[in-house]
Amino acid sequence: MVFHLARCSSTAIVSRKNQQTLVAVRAALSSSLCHSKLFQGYHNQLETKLTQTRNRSLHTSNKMGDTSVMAPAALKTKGIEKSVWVEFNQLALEVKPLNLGQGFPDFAAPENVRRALSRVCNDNENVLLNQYTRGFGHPRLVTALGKLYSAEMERVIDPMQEILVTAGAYESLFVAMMGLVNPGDEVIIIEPFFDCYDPQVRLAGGLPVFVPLRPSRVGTVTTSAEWKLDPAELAAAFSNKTKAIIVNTPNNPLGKVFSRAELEMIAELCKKHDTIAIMDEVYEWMTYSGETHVRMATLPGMWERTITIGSAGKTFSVTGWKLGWTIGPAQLLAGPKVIHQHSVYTCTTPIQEAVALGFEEETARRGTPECYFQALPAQLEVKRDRVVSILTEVGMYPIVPQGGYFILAYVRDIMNKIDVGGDPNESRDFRFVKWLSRNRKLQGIPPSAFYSQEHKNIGEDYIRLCFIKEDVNLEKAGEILKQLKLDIDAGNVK
Amino acid sequence: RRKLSMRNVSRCCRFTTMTDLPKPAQRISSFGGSVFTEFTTLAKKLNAINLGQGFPDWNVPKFVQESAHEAIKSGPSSNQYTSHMGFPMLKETLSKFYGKLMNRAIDPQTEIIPTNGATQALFSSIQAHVNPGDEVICIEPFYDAYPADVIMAGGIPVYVPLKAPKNSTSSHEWTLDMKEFEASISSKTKAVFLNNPHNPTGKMFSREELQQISEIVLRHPNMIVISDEVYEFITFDDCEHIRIATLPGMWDRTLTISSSGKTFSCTGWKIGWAIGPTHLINPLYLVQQWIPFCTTTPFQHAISLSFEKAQENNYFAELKSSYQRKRDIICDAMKKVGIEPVVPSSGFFALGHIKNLLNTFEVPDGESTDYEFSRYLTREFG
Repeated sequence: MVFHLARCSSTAIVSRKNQQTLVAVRAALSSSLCHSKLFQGYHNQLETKLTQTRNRSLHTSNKMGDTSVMAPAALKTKGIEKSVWVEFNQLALEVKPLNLGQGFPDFAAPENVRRALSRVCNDNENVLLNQYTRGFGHPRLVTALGKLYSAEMERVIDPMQEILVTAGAYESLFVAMMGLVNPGDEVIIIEPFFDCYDPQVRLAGGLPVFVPLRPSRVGTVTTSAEWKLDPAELAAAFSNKTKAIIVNTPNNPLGKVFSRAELEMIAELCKKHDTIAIMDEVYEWMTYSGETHVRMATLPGMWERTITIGSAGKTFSVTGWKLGWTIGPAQLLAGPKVIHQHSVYTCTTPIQEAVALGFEEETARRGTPECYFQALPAQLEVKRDRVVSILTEVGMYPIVPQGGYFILAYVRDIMNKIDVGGDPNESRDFRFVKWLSRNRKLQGIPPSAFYSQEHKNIGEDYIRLCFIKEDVNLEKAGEILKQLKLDIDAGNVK
Repeated sequence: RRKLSMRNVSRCCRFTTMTDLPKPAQRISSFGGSVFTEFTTLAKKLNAINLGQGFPDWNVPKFVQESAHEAIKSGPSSNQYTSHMGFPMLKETLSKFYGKLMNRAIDPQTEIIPTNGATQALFSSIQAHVNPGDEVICIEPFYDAYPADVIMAGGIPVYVPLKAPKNSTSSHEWTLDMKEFEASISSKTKAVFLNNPHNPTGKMFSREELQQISEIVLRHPNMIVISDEVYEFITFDDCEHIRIATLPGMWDRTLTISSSGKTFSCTGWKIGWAIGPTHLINPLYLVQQWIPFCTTTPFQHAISLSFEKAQENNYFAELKSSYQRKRDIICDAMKKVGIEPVVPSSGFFALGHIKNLLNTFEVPDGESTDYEFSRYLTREFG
């Protein structure tokens, strides 16, 4: 390997680059040697996990085409071939059900942000709005974010140093893992978890350690507040290898809004073990009456070790705009910024400008009912309550969410009365959701997708439904479920 | 807990050394700041004319603006998530358009993936295909993302330079020594980055050169070509852009990457794509699921509409001729001040020899001449 250094040329025009490239090659050589040793260890552990996840019955019919052995794909892609979205989006395309599965509105995005985007694209004076902007975030946007979050977090946030704009919260999560997690590091994931956390940790060479929220009761209407972490179980998950913990609050799919006390418990452990808190707070504006979204970064001693992730898609109901951000101290953002720089480099300028305009408008009317951050949750709370009654009526016990726009319903009793068929190796909820989609044309998402192999049994008795949908569609879903109940009671279910 | 020592980092990426605060991942420890960050920031600060970073200073064409407007207003789903495999209409459009150019039927379902700009297609291609310890050849001079992408995947960049005569005046004169190229391939070589048309020289690889490269690649069954062709429609002097994927045996070995930003003067829209055989594109679908999940819906839609409209109004011919005029203007201007241009056959950029001006500015210790000249030009002349 040493002779690779000798191959570096001395092309005069890029002499400085040569220095950098020599450093890079040298570092790569040492890190690749380091990787080889660690990689073997990691590879062995990955193999174990792969054997476990293979039993998770990933949908194997290869609609994406033949994967022949010529030029095989990187090892890191093994075992994480299919996300639950891919599987169920394909099903939805095939079956064309009423889709309460993936989380996006089925109604138009707010008029003001759409208008803003269109105006920006057609701006003939400020032509640079359609060209590359600052890689770490368009100045107008980071300024608007800085203003809003300085107020929310009650600290002065430096928009140029402490905010990174990304291609969606998804990318924020990806660059956080790649920028902070080393091969062999452990990352604690609280279950149920948004399904990308696990593969993203593994793509960075990290090892996920799962700690579940557990319900105190089942078989009746409950609330997401009743799902809690066992303090001893959580504490035992931390080790001297723990680099980070990922906390999603408000939580998808549960709708749990972590209380201050719960976050303080996590914070104490983070401080004790020198652990970073990666806070996925994309549903931060969607909390319902009586609930307050608490930001980990505002807890004593936590700003220095917290990454806070937000999303324009969720905030402004424009999930297709794929814009998000990461807020945190400059030191923690350094790693993610480098990854971002070389993976996406910069985000879509007109979208950033339009979102900046949106934030300026909403910040100006913060605290009023017209502010979208108040109007949207108010609208959603009505939908939530309607869906809770529908589910209760049909014997699917809802877990009333404190936040977010998903609801879990306990469906064990119903599942037991239906022969759902399907692959017996697949989780109960996967089979039930597929059956419901094919036979009753109503689609949800199976919550065991948000659990590790070890804890799938916790999620298997539920279905997740998204309620940021038109009322008429929620009512239709109600009709389908009522009919299902009638048919079950009459013994007419096929 | 064992603490690992920090490596050298440049001034653009400085960390405090407080040992009780969490540290970034080791994989980024060799990276400095991006050259674009330094110079675009300097240009903004000094209000200088920025001929550094590659983006137009004029507006997107009217029909492209109209496409955006149409896409944004087209219905509720236009602003919501689309498939991670790409917005179907864009994939159809690209498959028809490139199918004609490459003279083959391209399956929109399995052989095309839209991405967040060509930058993300490059990153994902490496993430999807390169294992730690794999080697990837970067032909110098290279777009700075290439070795960075390789290092982040735990791979090893291997450098092979284009060579030119000392006082080269044309990008045609920059050539790849094929023996040197073949000698740089080992059993660990997974890929080669081929940037054609080439940034920064403006070179267009000839059919013969691509043929020779292909023959070498085909002798190594484990190798793929990542062909970065973002400047494919900005070519001059009637030079033909040849796609290596169309050469015998090369479709199965090549990922062809391009971008709407360069083609439609909308670098800020960040819509790019990779095209290739299913077995090479499949792994990109996989990693796409975990990186951005999907790319911006309304702009994928808008680019799809833009391609259709462009074909109707002779856009590509006008694009070429307008850039060629600009190339001629800049080369003349450089000559007038004693900077001898390397006349490019393509792209946005021209290199120039500054040897005649070396006595006009100081180069501090530790700095390189070209970086210092660029700073000097920005500071003193705007």
